[in-house]
Amino acid sequence: MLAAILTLCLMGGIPDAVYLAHEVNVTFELNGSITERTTAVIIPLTGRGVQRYSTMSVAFRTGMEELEIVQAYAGHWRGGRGSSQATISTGPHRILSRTNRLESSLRETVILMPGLEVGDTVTVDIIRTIHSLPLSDVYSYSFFPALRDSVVRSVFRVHNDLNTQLISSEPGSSWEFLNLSPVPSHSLAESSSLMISIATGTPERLSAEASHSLDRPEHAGCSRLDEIVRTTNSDPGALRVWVAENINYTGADAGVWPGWSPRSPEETLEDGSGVCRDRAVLLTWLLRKAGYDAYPALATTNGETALVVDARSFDHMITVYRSPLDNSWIVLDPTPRGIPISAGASFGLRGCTFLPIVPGGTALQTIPLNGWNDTLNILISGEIDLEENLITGDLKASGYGVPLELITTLFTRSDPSNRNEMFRRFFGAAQCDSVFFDGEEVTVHGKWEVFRNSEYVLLPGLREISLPGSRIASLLLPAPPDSFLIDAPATEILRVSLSGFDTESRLPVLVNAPGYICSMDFEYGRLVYTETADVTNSNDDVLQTLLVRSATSARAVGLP
Amino acid sequence: MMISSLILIAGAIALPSRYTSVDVEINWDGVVKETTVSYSAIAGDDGRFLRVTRDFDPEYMEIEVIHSTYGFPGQPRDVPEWAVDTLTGSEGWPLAIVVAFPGLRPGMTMEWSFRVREAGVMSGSGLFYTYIAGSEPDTIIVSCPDVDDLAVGSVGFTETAGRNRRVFTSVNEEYKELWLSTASNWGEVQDILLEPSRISSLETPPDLREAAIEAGAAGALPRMRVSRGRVLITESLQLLPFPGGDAGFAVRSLQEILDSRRATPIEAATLLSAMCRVMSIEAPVIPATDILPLVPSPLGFYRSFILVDGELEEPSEYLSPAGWVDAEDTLWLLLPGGVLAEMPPLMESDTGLEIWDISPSDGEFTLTIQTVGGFDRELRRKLAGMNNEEILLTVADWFLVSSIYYYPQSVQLSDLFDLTEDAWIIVEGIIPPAGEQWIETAPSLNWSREGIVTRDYVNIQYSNGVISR
Repeated sequence: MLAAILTLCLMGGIPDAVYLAHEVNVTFELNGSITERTTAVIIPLTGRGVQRYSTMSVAFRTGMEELEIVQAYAGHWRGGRGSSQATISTGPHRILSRTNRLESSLRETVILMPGLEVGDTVTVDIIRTIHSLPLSDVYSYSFFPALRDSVVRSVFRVHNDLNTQLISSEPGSSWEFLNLSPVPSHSLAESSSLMISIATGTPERLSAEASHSLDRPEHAGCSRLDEIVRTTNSDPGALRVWVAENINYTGADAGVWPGWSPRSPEETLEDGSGVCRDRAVLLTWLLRKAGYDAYPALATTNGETALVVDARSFDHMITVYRSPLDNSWIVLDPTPRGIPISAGASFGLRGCTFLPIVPGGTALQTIPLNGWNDTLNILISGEIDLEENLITGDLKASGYGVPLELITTLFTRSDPSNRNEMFRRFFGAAQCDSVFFDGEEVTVHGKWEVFRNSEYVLLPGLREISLPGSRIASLLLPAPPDSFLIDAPATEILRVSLSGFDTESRLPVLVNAPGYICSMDFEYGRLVYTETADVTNSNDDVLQTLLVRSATSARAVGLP
Repeated sequence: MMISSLILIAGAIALPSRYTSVDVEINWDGVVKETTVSYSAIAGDDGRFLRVTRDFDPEYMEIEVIHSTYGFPGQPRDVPEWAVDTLTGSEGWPLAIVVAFPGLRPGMTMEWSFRVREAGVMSGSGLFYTYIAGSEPDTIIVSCPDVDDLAVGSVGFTETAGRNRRVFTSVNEEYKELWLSTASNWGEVQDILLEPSRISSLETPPDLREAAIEAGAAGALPRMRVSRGRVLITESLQLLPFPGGDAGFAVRSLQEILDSRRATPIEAATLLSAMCRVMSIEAPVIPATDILPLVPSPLGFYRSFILVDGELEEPSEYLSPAGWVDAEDTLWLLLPGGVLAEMPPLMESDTGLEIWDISPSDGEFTLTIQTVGGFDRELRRKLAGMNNEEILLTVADWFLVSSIYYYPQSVQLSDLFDLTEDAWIIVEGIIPPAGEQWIETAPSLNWSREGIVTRDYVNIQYSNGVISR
């Protein structure tokens, strides 16, 4: 065993901890309940490993599940310390802070290992008993052996004496099926798979059964729906915004399956409040009244799910409808406020999985990551004062996708008294006197600093004026390429037109680099420069683009 | 579509929510304190009162919502049952009771009240209460039993007496502060705050003796040994934030603290004080607050120091330089013998130095940072305990928030866990391509605290915030 640990340390540097054993047994009981028994033996190898395994949290939902900690203790390597039993406590989950919604079914059991040190051995044995499942009796479990710190031995077994039909995301030969068929058993040494999931039904079945559970025909009778549809001209985007802006985000464990069963549109409208599920159902019926083929949909907010799922695999509910043009799914998220009508859903949901809840069922879908035409257009028209080293003028910014969402969110979520300061910072201005937004274009009147010495004037460019792009620049060189993330991708276009320059000034030469162009010239006596940077996922050389974008030579004007 | 979006956007925030009155009724029988707090408020469109909360500790407190209604004038409705729940607390409190007001609309009036029943150490030691508010509520009324020796300190309150009760009503809209206490002097307050610490420090568990021996080898001077003892505590224990209520001055046995690897501020101070005793150094625990109590009261003392040779050490301060005290505001210290002492802010000990060596022709830069006091602590907390890649990313992020468009490639740094040496780092990296027409805004890092930062620019011309060849 020691050799295995040493090998791990030598191969890839020291992991924070090593799992000597990691085993999960899932059993379908005769009484219809399901037990998941997890045993793990862990040795923390670094300070971070000690921190991680000193306090372990196991979440569960009271009313649907029970949790039993069979044993949890730390064996100390230091002579004379023996072993220490863990302190176990159960209470509201820590994510349920005072600012979160009321969601009283979510609980956590906290396992506190006293006096844990590097080299100690942590042993936990936990039984989760699931008495009932929300929306559908489809059950799934995902086992992530290789995502643990470092695993010496990992086993996943399903005991299926009732011959419940199981489907798996990994039916390939790398899995060893024992005679408790179908029972996948897995050892890391024999498989390169990062995850295996099993389920008792397909996503299509889950979709169909969930539809039967919560899509209620009687909700069509809500009389206020027609009035709202009229005031929004039956426009899907406007209906989404109406729900987001008029329903407070407050909710509770109303319903049969806490966290999954929404209230009726009548109740949501009557209270003027609801969480995502209540909003999604309300919007579904509004869209249906407006003539669209709409459905609520289970969704994730953190990337893709496994290929097989159950209702607990999702943490959000949205609304989808069929495009009248090509029958594809169009996503509307009525929960976040302040995103543009044209957006449908926040860009944070891109790449996430959703499952439309449709009679007869349908397959899992993914919101595309690319192809959104994210663009930021900035136009500044003003006058330069070389005595004060200031540009005074108007900035107009518009765009599509992420930039428009950022601007809309900033405007609608901010207190009017803070707006000038907020947009001053957002557009890198020294002063902002007024901000106006018409839903598609923001206009800022303000002043921008220029910097100069006896020879040159440095004019502001994208790096100073476009905060979203500059945030991306912060992730430049230190990050290895494979972890390079673009958190607000966009093609940025800046055009500045200035009066007040001597036409004898020496202008910089055109800079044309991969994904980046900056040109400067005089047009009808005004100095005009245009800067374009492609900071999107489609730019293969985005690092080079950002580096050149941060340079100043293309915007340094030589004084006559 | 444009028209509807304009209408929606026009409904942006304009009306702030505010309290209109707060009514506090206190009962106390010498052991149990029961406080009923009734609020009335007007909802704005900022969502502030969509949920209201009250933190508590179930170890010695019970809490209930006894009343909650809201609605437009003349149309009050009760809060539904599902909208009241117990969730995680904040600022060190284990739990909080939460009341949500679904469908709250601007202009609605709200009323709600909590009853809190405490049977803990503090409630058994006396009647203590404080109310410190801004100018928000129109009226604040506090009533309490007319117990013997009740000291009262207030600003902006007037007192009336009733049947065995004393009633305090706010009269000044600018500032309202009320202190009630049955403690007769600061010595009694000191006994209440430090009794658990005194009892725990009577023992000397083997692990503590071992740590004291290690600290004792750090040098001849008591300060050096105490400093090493503090490093041992900060490196081996998780330092918890000050917990509210009785837990704020409760101290477990020293062995329990060492075994759990966690300590509250007063537990860390008790541990270091006991370690000093083993090293034959006298180092009493000193409670401190930055709010001057108007009467002797144990409320508000949230920091714990030890006093060594007339100087303070704060054992719960993670990664601050030895012998330095974070005191941007005046501190009030409860010294041995029951003396409340004032310690003015100490700002002059905070300095930073940035030396920027920039070579545009080579496209390279070297930054050297040297720090003292609060800047030293900021540097340590920003970078200590990270691997090289994390340090590089953190420095890159620091550059960005400082609007510095340079790209760090390597960082050297001092031993950030050695608190007796000033912290320093050296950053090397590249600058964006620089043509002949090169001009830049002079880089300067953003620091999160006030103080003197000196910046030198080497090998380039510097003038009025601009650098060039």
